[in-house]
Amino acid sequence: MRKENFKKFIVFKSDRNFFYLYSPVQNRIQLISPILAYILELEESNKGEIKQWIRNTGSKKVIIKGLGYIDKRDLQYYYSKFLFFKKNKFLDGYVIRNRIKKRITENDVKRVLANVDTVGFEVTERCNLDCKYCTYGDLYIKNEKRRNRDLNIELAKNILKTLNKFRFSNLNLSKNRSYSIGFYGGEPLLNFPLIEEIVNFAQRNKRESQEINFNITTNAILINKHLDFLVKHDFRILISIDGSFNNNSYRCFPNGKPSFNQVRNNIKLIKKKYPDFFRRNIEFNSVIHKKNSIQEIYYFFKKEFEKIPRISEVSPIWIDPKMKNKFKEIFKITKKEVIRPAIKKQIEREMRLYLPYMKDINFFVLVYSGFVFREYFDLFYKDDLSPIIPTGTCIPFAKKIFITVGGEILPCENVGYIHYLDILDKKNPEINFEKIAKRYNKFLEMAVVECNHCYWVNRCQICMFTFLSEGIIKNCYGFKTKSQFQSYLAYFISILEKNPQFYTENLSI
Amino acid sequence: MKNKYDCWLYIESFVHISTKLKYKSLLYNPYNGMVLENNNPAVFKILEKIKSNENLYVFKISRNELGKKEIKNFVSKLRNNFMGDVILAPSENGKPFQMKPIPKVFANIDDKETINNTILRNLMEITFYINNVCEHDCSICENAYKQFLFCRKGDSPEELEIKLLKLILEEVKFSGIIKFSIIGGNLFSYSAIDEFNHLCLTSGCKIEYYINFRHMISLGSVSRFKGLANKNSTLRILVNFPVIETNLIRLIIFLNKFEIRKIFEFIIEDEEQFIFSKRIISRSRLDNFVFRPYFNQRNKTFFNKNVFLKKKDIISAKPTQEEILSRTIINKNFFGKLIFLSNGDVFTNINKKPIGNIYRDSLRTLVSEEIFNRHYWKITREKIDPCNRCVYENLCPPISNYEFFLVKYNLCNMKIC
Repeated sequence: MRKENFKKFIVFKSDRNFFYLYSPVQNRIQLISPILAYILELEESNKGEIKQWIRNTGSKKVIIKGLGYIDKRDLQYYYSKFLFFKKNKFLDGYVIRNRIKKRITENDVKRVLANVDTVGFEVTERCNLDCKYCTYGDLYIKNEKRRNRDLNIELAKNILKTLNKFRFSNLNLSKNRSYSIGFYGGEPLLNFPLIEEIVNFAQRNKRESQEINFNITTNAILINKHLDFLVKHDFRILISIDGSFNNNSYRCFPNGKPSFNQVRNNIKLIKKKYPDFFRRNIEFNSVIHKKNSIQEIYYFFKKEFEKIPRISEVSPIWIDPKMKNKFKEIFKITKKEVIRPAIKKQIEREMRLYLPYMKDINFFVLVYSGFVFREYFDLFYKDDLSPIIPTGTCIPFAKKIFITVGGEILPCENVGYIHYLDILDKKNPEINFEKIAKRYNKFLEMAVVECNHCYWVNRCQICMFTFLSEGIIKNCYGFKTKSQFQSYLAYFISILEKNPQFYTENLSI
Repeated sequence: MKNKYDCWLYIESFVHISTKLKYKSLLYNPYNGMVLENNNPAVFKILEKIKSNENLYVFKISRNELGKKEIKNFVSKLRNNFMGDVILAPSENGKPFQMKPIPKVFANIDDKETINNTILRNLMEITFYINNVCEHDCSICENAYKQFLFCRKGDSPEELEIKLLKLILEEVKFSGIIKFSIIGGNLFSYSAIDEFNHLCLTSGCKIEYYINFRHMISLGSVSRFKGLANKNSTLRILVNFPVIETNLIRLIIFLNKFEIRKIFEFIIEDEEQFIFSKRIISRSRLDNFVFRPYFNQRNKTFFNKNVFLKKKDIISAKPTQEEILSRTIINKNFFGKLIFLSNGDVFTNINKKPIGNIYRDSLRTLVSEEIFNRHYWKITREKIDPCNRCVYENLCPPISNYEFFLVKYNLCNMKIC
């Protein structure tokens, strides 16, 4: 039930039975004594005047439930410590809705666009595979139709011209206005002529000192045909492959035949023909599901290619209710996977940036350690209590600008068509910033109905497009009541108790 | 019977720990300003271990050790100052966790790729010496501006071109820029002062005008002052000796008629000037003023007595934890600041060589030059001897122009091993 609207301090206990205090105003987590925890719980539950209670206890020892006999002097000490924490705002809270009042403006969108360093093009809707877990496949609600369309080249060129105009305005703060172009699909290499044309166009219209980098996400079925071009233009290539032959069995051709051999042969070709390029520019992405495991993937890529792959999970969002059982047959939660203890530490160390559950730990450390700043500017002017934009959704174009075959502008390639920010006119793609800001804020207003009662409010990780759509509001799967947030804190602190190296490793990246 | 309990000594995550040679250690609680200094070897060893990344502010301590007099005293003081505690827990529980303060900045200067994307975001303040023309002959003119913001006179008259200034203001409009400081020579002699003033005031940034009181006294015209008045602007009136008391007081009274924020900066070289200034302040009931000590090579004793920091000065400043941690990363006296002289030379440290010239180099190139090649923005006491041998290194204010001018970093009376 969504009822909390004031975020207060929380005392919680870890798996090892140690007590901690979370302070929302200080945004920090402190180890505390169990006696102090007891006093804080009394304070929190408003069970009368604590000082009076201590005074009334009389004798030299006091019995406290769960703690046994406590020396009265200790009690008085911890009461003074409680007062110290209280005086220094460790116990202060705030009204949740007041924190999430900020909305974006037209100028915000312009400023971010001028500094976006990645533009992504969906060059085609066509694909030469029929992967079982594809977000455009049967498992998911079909909010948009895939019609095997290709991106219009003029639209792409006009976008690049527009972006360059902004990039060379005073809104851009970069050193030499460089940027990256990413190619996506479907399978982007099915529309290689368009890729070629965009690359050549971008290079021709490059300005002095500007660097343009290229990258592509591909299933590698056709990579052998276009390898020389990709190498010539120093493409960074992300190849999707889920591990060994068996691991990869969800990735098959439309006729049901497995794609593994062809993909592996192409990868080996790259490694043999261009070993340096392979080492520098090739990365892999594996989707975790019931036919593979982190351990298997780790060993496969190490042995075959001497690489560490990225890992992603099958998306649990927007599943078609009719396909729920089918989804469950495929889906696996990575954090529940049991990795052989002898190798677990090594895998976690090497794959730290990629394992989904490690990303959650990474996020927790960065957010709650208290001294992580986005930029040096924050060391001067950071205000922890100033209003913020609700949810963990990126501000439009903070990560990239993504253009679909239909001319929709999306904030990234992970968001569906229906969450477009604007739709471009092919002849005159003038981006309408006011419209983008209004649309984005409209979605925020839908989301904030839940956020106003959520304890995760100022450190949210959830993209609102994972639970919102035009006319549809589902419950945010990240929503946390006070007790859920308490469990969340306890869960991650417990992990850090057992793995303190995660803390230092994250802060020294 | 075997002990089944472990004692965990922990330090509060907001406590600053410093350990140096010869067993010197210091703990500081920013919430109550308390400092615990110690030079006991046993305590030192524990603190070295406890602050390591291996232990992260939590350390298992035996009952034997806790029973030793020096440790017992230390722990008692630790607890009484709310800097830490000891928790007893069953051995089977294992070790608790504490979030040791480890500062991190994402857009990190050491990460070239990341910092290049938002390089101008690191620019926060520009000081413009818009001209170098002045009709006076102050004794401190040659060196004052190397110690703090003060007007300066050049050998031959130069001024920053207004069209250049326009371009710069346009370019930094969307960066991290917060403040412009405007100084001369005599500001009012700048050929395009009204136009420049208008540009600055419409920038939306804070503006600080540094004007020598002599220039104001000789000015006469009211309209010039009015032109500087804006909700974002401040007049910093520089008062260096010799001073005719009645003239200055008359100026103060005159300026009080205008609704403009003003701060009088009294440049002090000795005790006599200090007493004189206090008298003026009292007589004119001035409430916005600061004293700026000026080192004239002959006033070492004055500096030693009144400027060099004593321990109590350092502690009484009560730096927050955020300030202490930022001092381990950057120098806030320099970071994000550029100084433009009237000939176009650009400095990040006025006591060192210029990093370029604005007539030749773009702002982005200049900021990159500082970030990647000069490093004054990141000059911390941890990098400088003898401060890096002192437990107070990060409690002390960041290195300033005084240190560079005097070529002495420890402007204090601390005894370092």
